Amino acid sequence: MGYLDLDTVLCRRLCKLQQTAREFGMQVVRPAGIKLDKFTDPKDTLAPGSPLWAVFKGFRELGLHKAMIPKAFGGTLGDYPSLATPLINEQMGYADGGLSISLLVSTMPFAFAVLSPHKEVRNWAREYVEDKSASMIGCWAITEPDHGTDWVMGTSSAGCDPCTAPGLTAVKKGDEYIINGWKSAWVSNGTIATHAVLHVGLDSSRGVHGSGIALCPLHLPGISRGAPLNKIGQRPLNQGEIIFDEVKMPAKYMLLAVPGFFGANLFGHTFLGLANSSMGVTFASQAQASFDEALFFAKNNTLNGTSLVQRPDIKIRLFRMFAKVEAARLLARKVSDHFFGLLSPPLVGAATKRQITFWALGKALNAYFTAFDRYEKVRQISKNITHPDESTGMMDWGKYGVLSKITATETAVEVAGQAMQIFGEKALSPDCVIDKMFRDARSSTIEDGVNDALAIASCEGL
Amino acid sequence: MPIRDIDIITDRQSAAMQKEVKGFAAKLVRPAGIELDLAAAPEAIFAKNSPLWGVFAAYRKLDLHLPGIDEKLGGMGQIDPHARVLMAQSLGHADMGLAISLMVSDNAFGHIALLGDKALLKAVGDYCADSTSCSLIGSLPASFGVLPLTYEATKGPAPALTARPKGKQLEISGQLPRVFNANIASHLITDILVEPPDLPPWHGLAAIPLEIKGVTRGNPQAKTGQRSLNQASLSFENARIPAAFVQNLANPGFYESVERLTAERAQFIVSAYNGAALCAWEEALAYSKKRVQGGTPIFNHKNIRFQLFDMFKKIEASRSFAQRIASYNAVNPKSPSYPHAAGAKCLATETAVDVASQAIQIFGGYGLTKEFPLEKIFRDARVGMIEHGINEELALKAMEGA
Repeated sequence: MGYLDLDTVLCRRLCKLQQTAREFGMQVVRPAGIKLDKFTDPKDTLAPGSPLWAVFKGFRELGLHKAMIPKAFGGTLGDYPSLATPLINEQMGYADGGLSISLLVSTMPFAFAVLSPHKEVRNWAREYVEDKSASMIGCWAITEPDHGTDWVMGTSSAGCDPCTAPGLTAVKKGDEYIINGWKSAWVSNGTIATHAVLHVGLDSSRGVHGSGIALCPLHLPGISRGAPLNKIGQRPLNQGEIIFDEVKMPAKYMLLAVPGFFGANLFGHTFLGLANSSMGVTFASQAQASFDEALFFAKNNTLNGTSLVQRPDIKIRLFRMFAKVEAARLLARKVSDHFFGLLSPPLVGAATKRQITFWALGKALNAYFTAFDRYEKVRQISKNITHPDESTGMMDWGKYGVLSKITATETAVEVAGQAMQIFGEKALSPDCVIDKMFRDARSSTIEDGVNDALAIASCEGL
Repeated sequence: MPIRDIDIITDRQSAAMQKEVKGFAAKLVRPAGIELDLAAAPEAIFAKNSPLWGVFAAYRKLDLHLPGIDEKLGGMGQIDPHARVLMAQSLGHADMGLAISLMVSDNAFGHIALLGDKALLKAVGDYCADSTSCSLIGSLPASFGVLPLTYEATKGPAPALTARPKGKQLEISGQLPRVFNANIASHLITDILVEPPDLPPWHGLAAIPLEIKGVTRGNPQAKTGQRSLNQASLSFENARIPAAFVQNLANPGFYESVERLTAERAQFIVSAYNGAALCAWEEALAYSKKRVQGGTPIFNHKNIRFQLFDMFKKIEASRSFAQRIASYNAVNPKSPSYPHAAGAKCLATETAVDVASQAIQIFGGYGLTKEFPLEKIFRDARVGMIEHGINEELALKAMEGA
């Protein structure tokens, strides 16, 4: 079995990081995922002795969770080349698609925390880096029961339609925001998270564009959780509702208080690109895992006395699978590297030692949105724009993340399905790893935005 | 304007029967299938309080096990072939696993009736009359798919079971993997290699009562889809049956009758998967009219309508294929076309998977959860591309004589 790594620029440090992640993935994450997949009640995956915790703790023990935290906060962002995070995600996705997403999402609130103007919040990042016991787990709370994939529309001009406004709202009262609403059962790490990147509606007249971002600790009074979601695939990935009932959140936890961050602008598209490109990397590698299983099976099994891999029809199928997987994998890595490259130099690279730079960066971001907000209002009045569709997007590079995500997830489903056909009747047992990979892949074309909706939202930028 | 039903059943009695099947499937089979799918252990399928028994009993009360079995034996004889297709479709629409389980039992007893032995004919008579206890249930090995046994006899692997004559009896040894209804059945129909001491071995069809000595039933197998369908291995160690329970598949009249039953089975399998596809489509259509996104039901979004139409068109193509084969088989009962059966099977199972997958996509995240029916339909359908003959292998076999 030989893959040629076509990325010849991988330095020795990155190769070592890749190796560490690979070993952890295959020795800990893959077997844990297989065990967790079999629990009939997803609640049991969260019991104290569950293999889930060994995965979280092991990941942190190896320091792999630091990859998206800047060096100034004890992390490795800006220290390693930008390819570090995609390389880790590749190995985790190869080991288990669901757990890979869980580990990735867990970092989100702490990666954002560095931009907060408040020291307490910025310090979360450092605490997260040092937390080896997995007592801090993050989630990305965006999707809502009556408001799912259309969040993605927020990155297009259609997102200023008031009918797309978030159901969860934050209203400022003095030093606090009063938060009411539901985040739906698709929130990854929803029932185990301690902190959330919380998307809140600030101005419902502006649809999704009228939303802001809070970094919300989830122990605040009035926050409750639903039962963990029981689903077809990615069963090791904890997902569940978070319910906010008159939650009083101190204003310092609001990271971006100016509506407009999730609009058709630079920030919205970077956000979409980062998330989608990480999905792309994860599931391109998951497709590779399915292909590897099929190849191994074909080499070691016979049907009616003929070795499978000797049959020309199987050879064609295997090679076409290989071609699809490699195309998706190379694309996904390239795109993800691009988006993480935006985070690394020069901003983070220049500030590897100075926390104060991040504070300034956060301030600048808020100032940028305030200015952008005013500019948009003036533009709409001066050009007499009344219908939101007439407002055009400023930046549209999110489409590359979407391109990677759609390609990778659809490849993962296709390749896992073809692998199942090669396995034949053996694939029908829930004990067969290919059955699990197929179910895991099937979830991915909906996860992080239904593929068709992503395409609609991103077509604007073509 | 709702989409018109363009199925035609000419016989009034058959039409009434199809209506009954529809009601029975929706009221009993579907909830039972969902309950059995969620059961943690595969043993739960045939536990005493399992809904499976209610399904079997109700099915027989409605006389749905009788079509195809000779009237002299207590059966119903042949009924409108198009109605039979629709009946199988309704059962698959409700639950793929139970549909296959019910069909396997009927098909096995159809074979038993062919063997002609008195004791066996009595069992068939009892089967027809058994509408409460359901103590008689037939089973078939997984190799009884849509292709004829004669093909397997000449080109496939040798049968897993062998029989050696001992006086007027045959002694059976060997193991069958993944037998349908293995843990719940009273009788098994299987192909078998008979090895007389001084003569060349011959390929036969055997009816084996499963209560006899020397039969061991394996543990019920856990499965990714069609979990309501019981499957397990059966092993035989010097199990003895009367020699009359086996017939040579090469016997001219017998061979053709077996072909007819193979064609019936293929027709059922194909139609059941078409039913599963139809079910996924109906669920997606209903959901798209309820679910509001972007201020309007998603049915009003053009891409959703396009998807729904694409699904509709695929299902109707596959359903038409099934009806066309049924028409042909009704006129030529003893010479079915296997390339057509294989083609319809591949098309039906692939359509069911595609359509269920598209329906999940319309449901979004809800399509993936156990609270909505689609993830189950998808898993049930996916099994079909491998069960009853792996689609790619069927394709290769179907083209052999072309």
